[in-house]
Amino acid sequence: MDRAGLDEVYRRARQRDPDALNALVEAYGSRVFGLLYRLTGSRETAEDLVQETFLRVVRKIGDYEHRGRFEAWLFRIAANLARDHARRARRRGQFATLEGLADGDEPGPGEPADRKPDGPDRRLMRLEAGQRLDACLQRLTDAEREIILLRHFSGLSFREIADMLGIPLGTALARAHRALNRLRVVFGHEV
Amino acid sequence: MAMSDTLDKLERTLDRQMGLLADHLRTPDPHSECIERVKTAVAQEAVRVERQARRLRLFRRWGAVAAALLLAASLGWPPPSGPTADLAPANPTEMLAEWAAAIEQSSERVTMLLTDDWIPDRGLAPGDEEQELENLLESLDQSRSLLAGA
Repeated sequence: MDRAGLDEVYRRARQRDPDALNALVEAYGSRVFGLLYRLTGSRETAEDLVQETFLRVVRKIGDYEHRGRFEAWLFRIAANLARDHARRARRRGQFATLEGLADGDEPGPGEPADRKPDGPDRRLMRLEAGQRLDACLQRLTDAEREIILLRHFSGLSFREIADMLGIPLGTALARAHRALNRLRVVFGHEV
Repeated sequence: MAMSDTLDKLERTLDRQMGLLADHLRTPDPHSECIERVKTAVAQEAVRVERQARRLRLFRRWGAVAAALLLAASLGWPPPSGPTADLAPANPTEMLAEWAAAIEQSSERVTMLLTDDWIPDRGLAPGDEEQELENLLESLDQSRSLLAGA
C-alpha cells in the first residue's frame, strides 16, 4: 500500500471504520507479533499482546494525530505492553525464555558434572544460529533488546525510535552499539 | 557539527550491522487464527467504543436539560407553606451566578449518573437509546408537575 493509501486507511480507522481497522491488522499484525515474540519469548503471550495492542489502537486512535509515522505510535503501544508484561512476570518470579531455548542452553538439574558447560559464550556457539540469537537476545538488557528489535520490526530509523522512546539519539545509538557488539561476539563474522 | 557527523556515521554503521542481522531476526508468523481472532476482537471493540462515544454525546446534549429539571424539582420541594420569613434582599447577580454554578454541577452529576449507573450498556440501537432518554426526561417532567401540584 502506498503512502496516500495508508493515509486514507488511518483517516478511516480514526472513524473506527471496520475495513480500515482490518487493514491495519493485516498490514502490521505480523510485524507487531514478531516484535512481541522476540521481546516476550513466548508465542502465546505474543499473540495475546498483539490482540491487546490493536484493542488499544481502537480505543485511542481518536486521539492519534497522524503527523509522523503511524508505526511509531503503534510499536510504542506494543513495546509498552511488552515492558508491562515483563515487569509483571518479574514480580511473579517468571523470566522470559524463548521456546525451545532451554534445550542445550543450560544443563538440566540431573545432568552429570562432567557435562558442565565451559562458559556462557562457548555454550551459545554450540547452538543453532536461531537459538544462538534467541539466547543472546535474552542476555541483553531490556533497553538494548528493545532498541534492536524496534529497529528491525518497526522499520523506524534509530532517530525515530529515539524520539518515540523520548531518549537522546546518542543514547539510542549507544544502546544499539552495545547490543550489536554483544551479538557479534556470538555470531562472529556473520554480523 | 562534528558531534552530529559522528552520530550520523555511527547510525549508518549500525544500520549496516542491522541489515546483516535481519535474516537471523526473522520470526515465525502468528497463527492465522490469531490474526482472525484479533480482527474479530477489534471489530467488536470498535462497535463498543463507538456506541459509548455516541451515548456520551447524547447525554451531554440532554444532561444539562435533565439537570435543570432535577434542580428545579428539588428547589420546588417542599412547597412553601405558612408565612415566609423576612429575608434580606438578595443580590440578583450573585443569585444568577449561584444558579448557573448549581446547574453546571448538577449537569455533570446527572451525566455521570446516566452514563455510569442509570442506563447500563444493553446493546440498544441508537434510536432506542434516544427514546429511552426521552422517556426518562418525560418522567422527570411528570415528577416536576406532581411536585408543583403537591
